[in-house]
Amino acid sequence: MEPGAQTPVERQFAVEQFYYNEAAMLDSRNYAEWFKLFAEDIHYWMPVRRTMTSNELAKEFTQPGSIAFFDDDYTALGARVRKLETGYAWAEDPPSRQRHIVTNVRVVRDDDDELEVESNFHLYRTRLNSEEDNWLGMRRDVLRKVDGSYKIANRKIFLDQTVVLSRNLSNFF
Amino acid sequence: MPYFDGTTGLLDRSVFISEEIYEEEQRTIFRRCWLFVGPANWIDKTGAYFVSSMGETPILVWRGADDEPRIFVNQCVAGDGAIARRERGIADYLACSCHGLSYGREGIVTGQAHLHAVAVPRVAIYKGLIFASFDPNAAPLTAYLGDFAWYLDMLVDRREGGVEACGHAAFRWEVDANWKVPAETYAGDAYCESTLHAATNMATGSLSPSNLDQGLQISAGSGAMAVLTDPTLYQPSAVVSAYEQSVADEVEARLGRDRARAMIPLVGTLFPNLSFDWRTRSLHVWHPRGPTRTEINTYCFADAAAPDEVKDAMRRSCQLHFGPAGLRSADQVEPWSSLTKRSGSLLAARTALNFQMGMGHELKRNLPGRVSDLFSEMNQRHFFEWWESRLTDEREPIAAIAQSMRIAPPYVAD
Repeated sequence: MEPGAQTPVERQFAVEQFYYNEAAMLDSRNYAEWFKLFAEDIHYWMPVRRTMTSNELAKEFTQPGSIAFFDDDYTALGARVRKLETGYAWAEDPPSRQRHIVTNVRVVRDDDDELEVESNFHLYRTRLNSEEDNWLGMRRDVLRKVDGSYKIANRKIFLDQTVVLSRNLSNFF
Repeated sequence: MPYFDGTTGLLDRSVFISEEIYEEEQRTIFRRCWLFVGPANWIDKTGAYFVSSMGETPILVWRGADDEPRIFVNQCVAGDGAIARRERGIADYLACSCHGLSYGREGIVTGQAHLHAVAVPRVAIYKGLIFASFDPNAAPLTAYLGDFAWYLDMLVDRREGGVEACGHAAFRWEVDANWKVPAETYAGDAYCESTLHAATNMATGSLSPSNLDQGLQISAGSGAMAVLTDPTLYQPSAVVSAYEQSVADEVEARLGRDRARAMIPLVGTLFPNLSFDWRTRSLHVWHPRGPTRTEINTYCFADAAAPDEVKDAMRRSCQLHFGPAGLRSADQVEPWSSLTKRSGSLLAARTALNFQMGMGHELKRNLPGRVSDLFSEMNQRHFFEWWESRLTDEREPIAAIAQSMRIAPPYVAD
């Protein structure tokens, strides 16, 4: 069945299954398969967050075109994946142990060929002996309907930290 | 017993974990030295401000009605709160949330002229970079830089107007390493390029120096840097490359042939805690946050006179490689953290850290400072000799600092 012909419940199920499969690929470090989930016009973006008072919260996140933790097109995201596969990417070799939890999945827009979906994530990581990190935040994706499934055409990642409290962000969100 | 022995090139590893040494650093190095606090273009309007830190001390950089930059300790003098509670903005007044004391841009509390924010006594802008010192008697910034100014100008004085930060934010993240580890690494460790950054180089098609005659280490004044003399190792993006060619004559007219063409900056550190990577136009500040914690602030910079598309290309290059998600940053922090952590073991305490590479092999060149092959630890030795001489400064502690900072001094252009 075409995604467009789904009932809202079927659509919700399909989107959640897509995210669970994506999380499983990341948890098992199957980055080559994970990279195939992205459209070639992907913008994979995590802005910098700054502490602002409530009257200026609109300026909390840096805007597209300004500095960002991730600001990747298809080429840059591909370089990150290639780097992890070299065997010399010391921050992830020995690899960290990671668990991606994706919840609160909400389809906020459904056009003929694209969905806009918001979800919350919790990424738990341990590394080496005693290093432990937790990252929580929100993703806003554009999922393009392709061949009965989806390609991620845009991903905005809003991390719930200003000063990042871990030694790196060497995992994907 | 010194911590670093310049005659043997051996360092006592306790400098990376000792609480006592850390506290002494806060009293001496971070009190007396000139420290980088942020880019001048972040206060390009009257009333513009941003928060930063000098050592552990939170500060507020604020442009006054007279358009002079002033720096205050970001702490209300009569209450518990911060003066500025968000990271940046534009304001005529900032009020502490505790008792509502309202500070004007000159640091004076409205209606209570006897109350002043604690002002940092020395402020200087150098070609787009704002520096400050808590020491009212500090020598002028240019004297502090010494011969390193000649090299620093290769980065910041290429065109009229100096440099500016691209974007109104820095990458900020905290890592479990002593601040001196990245500072000495950036002083000129090109030796790590082909191993530590192997994965990044393979993934992005970047070249790294493999021979010690492809560049130089230079120790000069309060800084040290590595430069490339083999231009094939410098691979800027097409946009940046075209820009650099278009301004090459102008740069040479300002800097001369040696600094404009014969040497290409690689990495360097202005002591104590400002470092750079030229290829990606990144500035890093290593803020101490305890003996084994460092807050890294990374800024992307570009010639102020560069067109927007060039600034954008430099920003992209900086953020792909640096920041917590940066390809290079991610791998760098691993050994920094490991060295810090392992310096606490009993075995480490009895095994000095070896900085002997290149000892006795300095080169004779007609350049300021001391020069050696690219693969050397002359610069790391220079860093630790400088650090120890500043740490054990016999002068009186800056006891009068609280008094001298009561009144915001006029801005002095050093």
